[in-house]
This record gives sequence, structure tokens and C-alpha cells, in this order.
Amino acid sequence: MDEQEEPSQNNPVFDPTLPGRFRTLGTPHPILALRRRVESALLEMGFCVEEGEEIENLYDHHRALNTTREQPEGEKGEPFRIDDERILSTRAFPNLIRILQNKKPPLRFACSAKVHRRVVPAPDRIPVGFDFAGMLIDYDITFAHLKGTVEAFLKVFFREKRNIRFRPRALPFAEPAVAVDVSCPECRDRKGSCPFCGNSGWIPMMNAGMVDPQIFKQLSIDPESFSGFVFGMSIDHAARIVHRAHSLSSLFENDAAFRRGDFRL
Amino acid sequence: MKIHVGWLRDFLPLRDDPALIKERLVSTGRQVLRAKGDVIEIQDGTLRPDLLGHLGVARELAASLALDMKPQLWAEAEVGAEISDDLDVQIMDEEICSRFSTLVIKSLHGQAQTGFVRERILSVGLEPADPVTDVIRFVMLATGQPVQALDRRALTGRRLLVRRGQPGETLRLPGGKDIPLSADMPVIADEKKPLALAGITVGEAAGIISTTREVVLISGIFAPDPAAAIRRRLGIRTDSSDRTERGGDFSLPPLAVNWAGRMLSGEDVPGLIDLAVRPYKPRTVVLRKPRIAELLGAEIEEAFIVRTLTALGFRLESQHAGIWQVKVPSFRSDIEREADLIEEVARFYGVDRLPAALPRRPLTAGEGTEARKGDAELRSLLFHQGFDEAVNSAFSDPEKAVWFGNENLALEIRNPLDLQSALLRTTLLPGLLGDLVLNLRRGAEGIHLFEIGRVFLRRDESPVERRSLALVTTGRLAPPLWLKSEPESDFFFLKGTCEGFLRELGFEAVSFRGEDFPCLQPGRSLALFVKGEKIGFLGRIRSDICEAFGIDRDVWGAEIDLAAMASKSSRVHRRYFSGSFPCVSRSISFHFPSGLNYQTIRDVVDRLSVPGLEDMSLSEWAAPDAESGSDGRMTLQFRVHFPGRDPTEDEADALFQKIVKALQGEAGLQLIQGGKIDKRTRKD
Repeated sequence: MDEQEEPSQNNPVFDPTLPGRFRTLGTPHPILALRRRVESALLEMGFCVEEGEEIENLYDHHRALNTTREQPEGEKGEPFRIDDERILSTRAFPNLIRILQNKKPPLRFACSAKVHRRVVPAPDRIPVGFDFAGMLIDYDITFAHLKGTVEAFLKVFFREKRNIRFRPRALPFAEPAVAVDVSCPECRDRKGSCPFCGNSGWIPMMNAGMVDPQIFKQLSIDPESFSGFVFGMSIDHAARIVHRAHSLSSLFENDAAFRRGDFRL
Repeated sequence: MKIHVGWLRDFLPLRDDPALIKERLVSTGRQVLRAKGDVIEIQDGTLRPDLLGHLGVARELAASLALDMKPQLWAEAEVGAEISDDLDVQIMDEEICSRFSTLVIKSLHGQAQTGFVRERILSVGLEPADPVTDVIRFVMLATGQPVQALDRRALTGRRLLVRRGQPGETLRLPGGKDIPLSADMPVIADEKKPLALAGITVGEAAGIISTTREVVLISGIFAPDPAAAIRRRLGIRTDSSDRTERGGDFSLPPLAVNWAGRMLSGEDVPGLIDLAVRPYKPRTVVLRKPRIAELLGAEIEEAFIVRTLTALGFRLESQHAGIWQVKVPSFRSDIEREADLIEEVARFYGVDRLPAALPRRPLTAGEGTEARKGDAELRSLLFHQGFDEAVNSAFSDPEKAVWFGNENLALEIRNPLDLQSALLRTTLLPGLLGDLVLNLRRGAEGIHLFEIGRVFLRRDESPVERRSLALVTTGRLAPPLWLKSEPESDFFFLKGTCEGFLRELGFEAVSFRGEDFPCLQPGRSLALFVKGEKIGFLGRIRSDICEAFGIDRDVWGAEIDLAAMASKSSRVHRRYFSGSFPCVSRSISFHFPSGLNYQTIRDVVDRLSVPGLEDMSLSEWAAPDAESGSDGRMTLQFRVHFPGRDPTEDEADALFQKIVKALQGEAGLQLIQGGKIDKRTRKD
């Protein structure tokens, strides 16, 4: 018995409503916690999940993205360069292709990776983030299976009902390719200016597409026998939506008090 | 790019309002960034050159809204000889330029057009400039084809060359900045000097000024890679270079300069010079209707396929039922394979309309990697010790990196955002110390953080990624409580945390040795060994490093190489006692001489490999007195389990005698008192 505790317990005016003693547990990082949620959802859906490398060979990067040249600076930002041959990964997909080189279909595989993009930090974008990419290859896989799988993943991931919209977008490694939007959680509850969707009611969440036959050839897979699809998501962007955080940078920084006060997963 | 609905009507009989146009643009794959009135700002994320002009966007809308395009606004260009009275034009390198058109405008009388052009420029939010600049911008925004204008007076002689830059040459850009040219940069030059970066920007000397009377208009199809390389290397990015990076429409250069010339002079201008290194041959792709169904999982009507692709500018020739030879137009260099055409069909059919289904193969459980599974267990143990999870970028500050060692093995970033993040990190500790500062500034009194991440080292000039775990701890270990003050973090809290998780993860033969590390205070640091291999270190962070970070308190830190740790893993399966046989426990006190450390005692006991020894713990410890020279004193508590039976007193005595003898003989301990079996415990 603790010597400072004993007198108060023996005291006739003992106050049993005084605060109890507890041990403070550590908290997970909100974005890493979400990364684990993504991985858990993928495992439930039968995907094998690996962690990607952070340094990437430029040749692998272009080959995986099915392009001989760099995309103009866009939403992903330019890569950080280490030398003529190497960059820091800007997305998980090239990592996925590298891992899959020695595997044979049918397969369901996913890779999550820490990525870096050369963007000037702002509340809604920072140079570091996390991405995942998944691929399913089998006989007779169609775009309908892509849609069904993405819908199932988002249902498991969000743990709540969200409307989903598919719209075309260009990805050099997928034909046809789509962007997947989910209904905005904020606009559902309130009217006026929405910091998440700009009042469109939709938030871009994922990209997906049927794997380009050229990618299959690189993986020594016969594109006439097998077909498949790829899908991916920026986990930090998803974290902003899940936690309804107005600023990505505040979500990313390692402020323990902010986390204890503001979120639990 | 900003699109003006009125401008689209130059190409298309649009009657729909901007809201419907916006919706159609989104449903066919354009991302609408903003829409205000008749102006819609779109981003397309492709490498298609045509979508950076109103003409290309109008074509997409024509297919989407089932409208016919209006007749084109420009007349077919009449091409002259390669050499005119004014210019002698030459493409010196076919790799950098496949088509090049020029036209000399001797009189700028197209005043009637300039009001219209200014109106269009203003409509997409741009500021009008001089008439020549406005007209070439107008043509570029209308067609997507960049046109550049040179002041004729800047040319020395009649020769106009498309060639590679030469070492030693420089070009002065508008604004006065000189850039060095190299062989991978395509330039427009006269006999003596470079005048412009082809498809990117015109040099200051050849730029249009108020006194310009005679203009050379140029437009070409240049290799896209150099434009991207110049943007990366020199940070030069213009509206023209964005389009040049996407390749271009092979048919457009003569049409674009001709149209610009007609608007500037107010009439058709003769003398167009158009060079093509080879005649254009349209690509042909086979499209099979069954393949569309196989890929999309839906049957799409033949009439829809033919109508859509024709509206997009493709020419379809049916060979057999449901199989077409599709001729790709020059503005769709992105279409290479059948899958590309199927994407076009899906885009205009509506991907949201296509059906959804789950794959038919039965679902089996997925699998994660061993490393990720190990991380989950480690993370959980650290949460229970009160450590918060942190994550930091891969960068480190070169000035701070020298304090932590390994700076010679650090890899540099060629294009860092700032000088403070110019290296890849070789240790996770600086990032965690930065996090500590943030938390302390926000009023935290106890901060305990860990990060599991990658560090980067140069090995034989190649980068190596290593998975690493780092911990930092300082201050109070629990929130303030009325009961009594809670303990604070210290060296032994950190060491105990490391010992604890290693034990729980099943690591055997864990030991510590005193060793100095660059970032740790001498005498307050340990190297951590598992099975004789050093896998990490821990100790007190040097106070001068803390000060440099702006921390005015004691901080303890540890870093462990997770790859090395994993290689030493030999999962110990703990044996749990059956309820009927107790554990034997005995406390033994010793004097120990100055200079003997606990690890030595631990090693002696480990080497004995006493069968059934469950645990040895230090229950009492008093340091030797340096002044009087008297020995220190310690009490060790041993717990032994005899599997499947209850030991006799003699058996237990014999075993403890063996331990005492070894400690006396090998470690120089002096026995103070030996207890008898004083406690019997039962474990579940």
C-alpha cells in the first residue's frame, strides 16, 4: 500500500471520489494509424501487403508508370532527386511493380509506402506522405470487378455509408482509368463554404484503372490470358477527410497533446 | 488552363449553359478546379497536347454533346519553298525537331483583329500586352500550338537554324538573366548566335518591342524531353514550354503561324516556309468489339462506339463485323494501343454507368510481411510504456547531422526545398528532438516519443535503406496527481523500456556495454548487443546538442537498427507453470568492489545457463564509497522453476550455491548473507 495513500483511506473523511491513478498510454500517429487501417482492410479482402522502399530507381519509376518521360508537375509534385538514377518515391505504384516482378498470377497484392513530393509546405500539402497501391490480376477480370472491389474497400475503410462516384481520369499505366470520389462528410451536415470539397459535394479519394497491357508485358504476363486492375490512394489525404482536419500539416506534426484531445481511432 | 465558354463557341455551336458544360467536362475526365461565370478552369492531368487549347476541349464537348464542329477559323496554309527572299531555314538535328514553320510579317496592319484578340485574352483572365504577343498567345490558347515571334532586326543574315545549344554559348532571357546553353537544349539561332529556346521562350535580344516593325513567326514540333529537363534544371517554365513538354499536333505549326500572320497583317501573307523531317503517317490501331466487353464487363452498342470515336476525330474502317482499323488523328499522339481506344469508349459511355461486381475467385486471408507484424507488436509495447508514435520526413539538416555521426555516409538531395533539409537522414534522433521542442513549446511537461522509420546510408556509392527505431524521453512520466509526485523519466526508464520490449519480443542474450557515441554524453551511454552483435545505443543526449535544439532539460535517447535486431530474433516461447508446482525464490546479498558493473554479474549468471532459472533481478543496490574505499552492496533475487515437480531443499540449495560460487569466483563478489528458500510462489 502506498504510504501517502494510506492515511486518507483510514481517515473518517476519506473522499473516495478523488481522481483515480492511471497510467498514460502512448498514442498512435493519426496518419500511421490510418495506414494500418488501410492495410487491415486490404488483408481482410485477401491482399498480401508489403512495405515499399523510399528510394527508387528512376528507370523503375518511369517503366512502372509506363512513360519514358516525366509528367508535367501536377498534383503529385516533382520528385526529390538523389542522383541521375535515383529519386525519392512519389507514389507507391512503382514499388508495387518492382515487388511483383517475380510473382505469377493470379494474385492480389498491395504495397504501402512513405513518399516524398517536392511541394512547398502549405496547410493542405506537405512534402512527406503515405500512399498505397493494390493490384489484382486473374482470368476474366473486368472493369466491373474494379468498381466492385473499390466500393468494397471504401466500405471497409470508412466504416460508414458514403456515396461513391467514378469519373474518368488519365493514368499512364492504366486504360481505362478512373478517379474515385466520395461524398463529402461536411456538406452532408451543413451548408455554406466547405473546406473539403469546395461545395461540390465530392472529394477525390482514389485512383484506379485496368492495368495497361504494356505493364503486363513488363511483368512477363500474357495480357490476352490475364487482365487486372490497380487502385491506390494517398493515405495522408484520406486521413484529412477521415479526421475532418482542416489542415494536413497539423495532422502530420507530432503534437502529443493535440492527438490526445482531438482524435481516437 | 482557363476555358471561356464564348471562345468554345468559335469552334462549336454550343447552346448549353456553363453548368452543363462543366458537368460534361468532369464526366469525360477533366478536373474542374474553378468555375465562375463563363470561365471554367480545368486540369486534365494527361500528356495530351490538344487539351491545352480551346479547340481540343471543343472536340471533346462535340463528342459528349453529339454536336458537329464548326468549320475551322483558319484557311489551309499555302506552303512556299524552304528558302524565301527573306529567310533560309534549316533543321540541323532531326532528333530535336520534326517540323518547323516560319513566316515573315513585314507589316503589322491587322488592327481590325486586335480588338477581338484582346477581348479573348481578357476573357480568360490574362492581361493584354502588345499586339504581336497578344496574337501569338491567342493562337496558342485557341489551338494549343505555341508560336514564337522574333524581331527580324535581331537576325544576323538570312539563315535561321534549329540546332542544339553549344557549350560556351549563353542566352539572355527577358529580364536580363543569362543562362548557359548545352547540347541537350534545342535553340533557334541565326548564323552567329542563339535567339530563342525552341518552344520555350525567346531571348531578350530577339524579343518584340514597341519599335518592332518586322516579325518572324516560328512554330514547331520539338522533342518534349529537353523542355522538361530545362524546367527541372533551370526552373524555366512558360505557357509554351508546358505545351512543348506534351509533344504537339504535327499538323498545326504551319496553320498556327499562318493564322497568326493573317491576324497581324490583316491579310494572307505569302512566303510560309514549312520543313518536316519526314511525312506524317497516321498510326492505325485495331479495335475489337469483343475485347471492349472483356475489358469493361459490359456490352456497348456498335453505333455508339462508331459515333463517339468519329466525333473525336478518329477514322474507322470496318474490316469484319465488330472489328475496325482505326486511324489516329495527329492531335492524339497519346493513342497507341487498343486499350487506349477502349478507354475513349468508356469515357464517353460514362464510367459511372458501367456495372460493378466482385471478383469470382473465393476470398482467402491476405498476408502481411514479418517486418510489419513485428512492428505492430513493438509499437503496442511502446504504447504501453507511454511512448507516443511520431513520424518525420526523410530529410536532415547538414549542420545538425554532424552531431550525430555518420554524416560522411549521408546522401545529398540534389533539389532540396531548403538548406535545412539537404541530406537524407542517417538517424531518426534529430527529427524526434525537433518534435520534442514542438511539444515543450506547447506546454508539455513530459514527452516520450518513438519513431519507426527508415534511415539512409551510402555504401559503395549506392544508397542503402535501413529500418530503424528511435526513442526520446524527458520529463514527467504521468500526469500530475494529488496523491504524490509521479516519477520523472531518466536513464534507467529508457534502459528499462528497451530491456522490456526486447524481453517481451522474445530476444535472448541481450547485453549492454559502456561505449561513447557522438550524440551521447560520455559515461552516460551504452551500446546494446543481442547475441553478441551491436544493434543500437542509448543514453543521455549531450547537453550542448539539446541547447542547440532549444531544449533546456535532460533528454535521453536510443536508436536501434531494426534489420539487425530482426536478424537476431529467436522467438522464445515462454513456459508457463502448471498450477501445482511452485517457483522457488531466494534473495542473496553481496559486497562488490569498485569498478565492477552489473552487466559483468549478469554475464556470469547467463554463462552458467542454470536450468530452470526464470529470472534474476536486482532488488537492492548501494554504490561503493569512493572516499572511504568501502565496497558497494547489492541484493540479487533469483527465481527458479523445476518443471513438473516440487524440489527438495537440498536441490534448491545446491543450485543457488552454484550461482554464488560463480559470482564469487568470476565476478569477485563477497557473500553477505544467503537466505534459505524464503518464498514459494505460484504462477498461473
